[in-house]
Amino acid sequence: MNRKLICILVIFAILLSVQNVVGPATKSSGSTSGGGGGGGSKPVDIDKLLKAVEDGKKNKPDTFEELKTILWKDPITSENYTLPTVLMYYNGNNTTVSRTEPIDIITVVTNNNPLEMRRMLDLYLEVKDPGESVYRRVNSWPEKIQTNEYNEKHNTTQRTWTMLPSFLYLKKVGEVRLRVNVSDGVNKWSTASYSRVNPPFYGDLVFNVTNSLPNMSSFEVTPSGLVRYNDPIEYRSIIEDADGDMLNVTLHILDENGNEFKNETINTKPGPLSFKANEYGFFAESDSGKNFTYYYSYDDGIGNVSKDPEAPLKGPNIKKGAKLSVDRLDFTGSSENYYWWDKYGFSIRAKNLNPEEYEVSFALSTRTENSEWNTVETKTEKIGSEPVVVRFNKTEPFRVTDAGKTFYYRVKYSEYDQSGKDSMETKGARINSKIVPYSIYNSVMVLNLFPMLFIVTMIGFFMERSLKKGVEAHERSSGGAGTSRKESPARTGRNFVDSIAKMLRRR
Amino acid sequence: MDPIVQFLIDNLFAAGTIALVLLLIIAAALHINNIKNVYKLMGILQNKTVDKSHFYKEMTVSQGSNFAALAFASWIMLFVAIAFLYFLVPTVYSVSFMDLSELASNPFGFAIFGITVGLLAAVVIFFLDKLPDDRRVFRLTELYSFYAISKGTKKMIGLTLIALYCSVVLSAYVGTIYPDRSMDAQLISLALLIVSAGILVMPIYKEAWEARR
Repeated sequence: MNRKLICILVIFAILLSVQNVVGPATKSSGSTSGGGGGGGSKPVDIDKLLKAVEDGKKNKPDTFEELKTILWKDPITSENYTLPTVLMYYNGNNTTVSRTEPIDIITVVTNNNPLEMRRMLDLYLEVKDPGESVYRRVNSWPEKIQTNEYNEKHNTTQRTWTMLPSFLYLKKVGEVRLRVNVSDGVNKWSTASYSRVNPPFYGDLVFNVTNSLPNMSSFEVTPSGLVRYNDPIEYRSIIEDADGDMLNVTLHILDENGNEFKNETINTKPGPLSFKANEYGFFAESDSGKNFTYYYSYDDGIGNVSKDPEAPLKGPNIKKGAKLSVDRLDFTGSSENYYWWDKYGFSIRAKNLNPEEYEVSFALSTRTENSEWNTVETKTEKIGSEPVVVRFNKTEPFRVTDAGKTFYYRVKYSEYDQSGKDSMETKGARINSKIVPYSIYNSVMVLNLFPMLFIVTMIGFFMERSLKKGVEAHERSSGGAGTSRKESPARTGRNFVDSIAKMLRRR
Repeated sequence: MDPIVQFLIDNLFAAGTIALVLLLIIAAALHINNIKNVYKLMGILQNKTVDKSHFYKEMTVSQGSNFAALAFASWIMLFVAIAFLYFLVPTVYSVSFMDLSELASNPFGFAIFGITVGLLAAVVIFFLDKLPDDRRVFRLTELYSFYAISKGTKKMIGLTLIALYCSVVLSAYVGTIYPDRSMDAQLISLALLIVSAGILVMPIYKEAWEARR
């Protein structure tokens, strides 16, 4: 309304300006600028005109109303004006879609009115979600269809509603209805008002939105077999959801009678899943000797699976074992110099805090400074309530590269000790820096050096025999016995000793 | 030990090492230069360009099988002695045979080390021997074929083998006492190496000297 009024005022101002140009000169009021004296035509400033109208609105409302009445012009209407046809358009094969499926919701407008009769259209998309009784407006600002944007041939234009790319936002699945409300400034109507519309055009676009349930696979409990209650037991699986929803997954652990023993729920995205028993405190020492089963339940906030797999899976089977008390981890060297080649003895004392007797394995490992642990020896002993000293005698755990380094040693056992650990380690001593166990006079050194010197010398002699650079080089260079060379020892069958003797006799 | 004396001894070993390296590098350069000069001279005398392979054929002098065998053994032993002095234990360099824990911990580690180095040296010498005929100057196996070598020099070259044995044994001794050190043994071992290397390349220096005169 106001806009129309302003348009009329602007036209009015232009007319006045024309009048000023062709008519007699007018005198400006005192506030006018430019003040040049003397006559002649003077254009009327539109800002001043507007200001005058605004002042009139404030100061002389009656006159202003009179002016409005004079200037009011009804919207251009014609008996020939027809309402544009506004329809929903969906080019999918069917309107049953999953929540994540991308959808292109389009509104097509056909306006057969001549350009000068067309009006700008305001479109509002409305949606009625499953279970709702009323439509809700999707766009807060109207989508505007300008009068000049229609296809000249078909008089059509369209809008794609990008603010609704899918129905992922739905928390409940079912029937979703979409429509567009239209206004041309005078008339208001809805796409739902059209009847007998055939796909891909729709008056009320109705989707049947479905949800994909999550799916679990790769069920596993590690470690497999018999485990200790405080082993790093882990329930692993993979959960997938086509919609990519956040999922609530509950692990149900059942006891031997099939009763729920523990459950734990986590909220997670689709992907690998892990429940660590120690983290959630699933099992205690009192559970030793029991066999458990488990299953999962899960939901994606819309649908749920109450039991997967249907038959609970086995695991873990917790074994009964000793509760160790260990101490007196010690070592001795065959010499006080702690050479790398010395034999070392290691020992640890252990007993079972429970009255039973169990077989427990003990593994001795050593390392020097930053190197990795190297398993030296493993032993299995029966451990009861009486302390047992487990000995690793006459071990040779070190190498020449360990010389000059401090060593550490560790005994790892197959049960947990009083500290809840399964190993005990401590620092040993500094290994002597001496790296060669033998003196130069030692028979081992003699056996090393003399044969080595002999063999290296022989390599030289055999090289000469092979290359024949002594005599034959000369013979070759002077075109001599290159081809009349004597047969090789191998060919003539002479033995190895003869060939060396002959070679040494040659001049 | 007096620090100054220790400093001098340390430097003596370093100087000896540099001398050994220079001795061998200069000998190689002189050897190439000697052959080049003779080749040039032959060209001048014959007043035409002589084919290199033909030149080498003409230059080749037989030195006898026994001498050649001893010379090969000495050269291989020279490399073994160098390896024993510098790379048996981390006395000189931090990298040593003792880093190979499995081999070094073997009771016959020293023998394995020496034989391996000897074989490697032999392979390299064999490889050099396969160079084309016009590159015969680089063949270590034919080093002495280009020089007139007296009987006395040949005997000396043969005797380097004994000196190199001694050097290897001394280096082995230094290894057996590690981390203790015997600078005397190291220096004697190095000296034997330098003397042996000097004798082995003596014909080259002698030829170069005579050519200058």
